[in-house]
Amino acid sequence: MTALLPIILAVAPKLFQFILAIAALKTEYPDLTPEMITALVVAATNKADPTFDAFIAATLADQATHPIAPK
Amino acid sequence: MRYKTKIVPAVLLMLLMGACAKTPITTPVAPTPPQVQVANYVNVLAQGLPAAGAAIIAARDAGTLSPEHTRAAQNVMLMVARTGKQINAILRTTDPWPSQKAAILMLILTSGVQEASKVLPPSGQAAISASMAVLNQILVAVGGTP
Repeated sequence: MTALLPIILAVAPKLFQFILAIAALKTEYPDLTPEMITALVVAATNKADPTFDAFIAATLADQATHPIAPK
Repeated sequence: MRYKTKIVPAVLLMLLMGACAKTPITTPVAPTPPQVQVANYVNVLAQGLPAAGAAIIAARDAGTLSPEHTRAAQNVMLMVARTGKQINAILRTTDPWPSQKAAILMLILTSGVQEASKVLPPSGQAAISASMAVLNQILVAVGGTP
């Protein structure tokens, strides 16, 4: 047994790695619930809308200060 | 015989610890729901518009873009911003994703943004190219073709 120990120590970790890797590959990711998807969408849209509003206001203000003379 | 009952579990434990330390377990990346993907694209659009607007104004102030072309480019960007807001409003409804997808596709196709951007001069088109690219990504995500 003690003579075989170095061989077992050298080979078995790789075997365990292989087994654990297969187990990891078979792990399924849990599905997102509709509530979680809604929360993600609301968070993204709440971040974008104020930026859009500020851009629209700034652009209209610039257009007001730089009128185009009719030809 | 006695030492075998002690050594074997110890060896197994050592092997497991050694394997776990070296095992590169990778967690598969969760697929992003399409409505979240579109919302993220709209957010990217929102973050890019101010820089595009500043570039247009800088070109006008430098004399490389006429006031008329500046106004035309700004109007296109205003259309993009308003379309982005309307897309967000659709995403916030409780409608199922197929309905939202169809509504967003119709919105982009009828907004006139793509047609308006094509009549801009090259410098104007260059300034808004990044925003148009993101809008095209949204279009593809909802089943359209740029």
